[in-house]
Amino acid sequence: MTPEIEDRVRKTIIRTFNLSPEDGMRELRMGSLPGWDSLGHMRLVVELEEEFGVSFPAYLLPEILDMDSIVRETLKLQAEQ
Amino acid sequence: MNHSVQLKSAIPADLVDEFLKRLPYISESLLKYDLTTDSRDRVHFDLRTGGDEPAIVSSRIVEVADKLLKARRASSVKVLASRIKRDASFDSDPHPGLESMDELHRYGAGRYGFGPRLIELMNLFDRDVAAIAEKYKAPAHQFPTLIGADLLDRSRYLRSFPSSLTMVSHLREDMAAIQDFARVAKWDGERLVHNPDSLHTIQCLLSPSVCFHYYSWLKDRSIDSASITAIGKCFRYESKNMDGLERLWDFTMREIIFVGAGQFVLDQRSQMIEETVALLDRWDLSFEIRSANDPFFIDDYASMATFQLAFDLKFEVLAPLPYKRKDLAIGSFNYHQDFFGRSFNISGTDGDPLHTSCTGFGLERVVLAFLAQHGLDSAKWPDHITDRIRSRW
Repeated sequence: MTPEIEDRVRKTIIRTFNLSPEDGMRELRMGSLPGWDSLGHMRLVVELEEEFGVSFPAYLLPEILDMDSIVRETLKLQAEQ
Repeated sequence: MNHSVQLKSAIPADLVDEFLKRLPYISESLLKYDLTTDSRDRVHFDLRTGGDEPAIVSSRIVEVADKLLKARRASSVKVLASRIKRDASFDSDPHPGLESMDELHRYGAGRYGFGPRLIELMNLFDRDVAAIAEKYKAPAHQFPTLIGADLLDRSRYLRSFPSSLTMVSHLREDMAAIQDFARVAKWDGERLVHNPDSLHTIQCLLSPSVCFHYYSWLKDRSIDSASITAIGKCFRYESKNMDGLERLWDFTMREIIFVGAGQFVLDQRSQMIEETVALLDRWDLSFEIRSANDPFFIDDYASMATFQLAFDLKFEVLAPLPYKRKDLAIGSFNYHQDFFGRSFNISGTDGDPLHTSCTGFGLERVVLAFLAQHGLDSAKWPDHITDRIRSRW
């Protein structure tokens, strides 16, 4: 389950920030990519919500700043929602 | 009113002010407007004849509402300090009294002159804030009132707050253009008559904030940390929202600015909030310090506002104005993460982009809040203030 989610999260990040396949294999976290700033973060959240059919509450936005945290919180939300 | 438009969904109560503040910018023809108070889903408006068609204005109103709500998610407001006093001893509008005392002179919307007693009061408040800066060993700096368009572009201000910009120009270095301007220039009662072709392209604007200058000052530098203070004139055009000293086009801001590693900057901001609470208590002001967001331009509003609130990037000092039954933001504590560190290539000794924070006080608003809460009789003011003024009111 987790590897599949990880793959979808990575693809969503690559799509949101128009990354090359090589850049998409790097460590992906807020601040590590030119486009992943405040506005980029909100764009990514919307893309993730569409991809996984979940809704991230505002208090979680500062918690989902890299691949691991996004996967972890998405799994939790899928279970809850 | 003659026209009305149905919104797709109701404006949430906490966004009504934000929504109404944006409407003056949608059309120069818009004269009056109002949102239905109960359902908050219909806007009534009047238009100047001969201007934009009602259908166009209606579609723009709906667009503003849609974009304001798009990507919005509920954020709980955090209250860091609260000293709300229910028993206001004074509840009159101080503007008429100040004008009759010849202490306040209105030049136009958002433009006011101050007399000697108001200046003394404003300087006193400023000295108290500057005294906090001294505790942080934050030396005074002075910056120009003009700010380069390049600097505001790099700060993303041009895209985030376009409606509030005040552009500056001058005549082209062209003898014919200068002579032509001298021949035709005159005030026709509404505007300066001139040939726009005689103006130079825009290189500078009037600065909307103080701190941008300092980030530019540090451009391409590697430092451990820095703390400074500066006072400066700031300019934010706010259309029909400009109202007395509450919302000025041309105002004075005292800022204390911190640059450093993330934890350093956040610690300084927390201490600044504590110092400010103690200062506001000495001024005996009724106030609350709450999480807030900037009035971003409409396209990015929901995303940026949500981000600011979720990441605790902005807190405002809100002081009640008893005569208006509403609060006025008189100061703010802003954390920009590493945005300016990246934008201006300011790095720490480890090479990472530095974080920044600024605390700002709008001094005219501080004066207004004080007079609105304490009145114009200095015998009723706190001793901390009256003991230090030379001219009694």
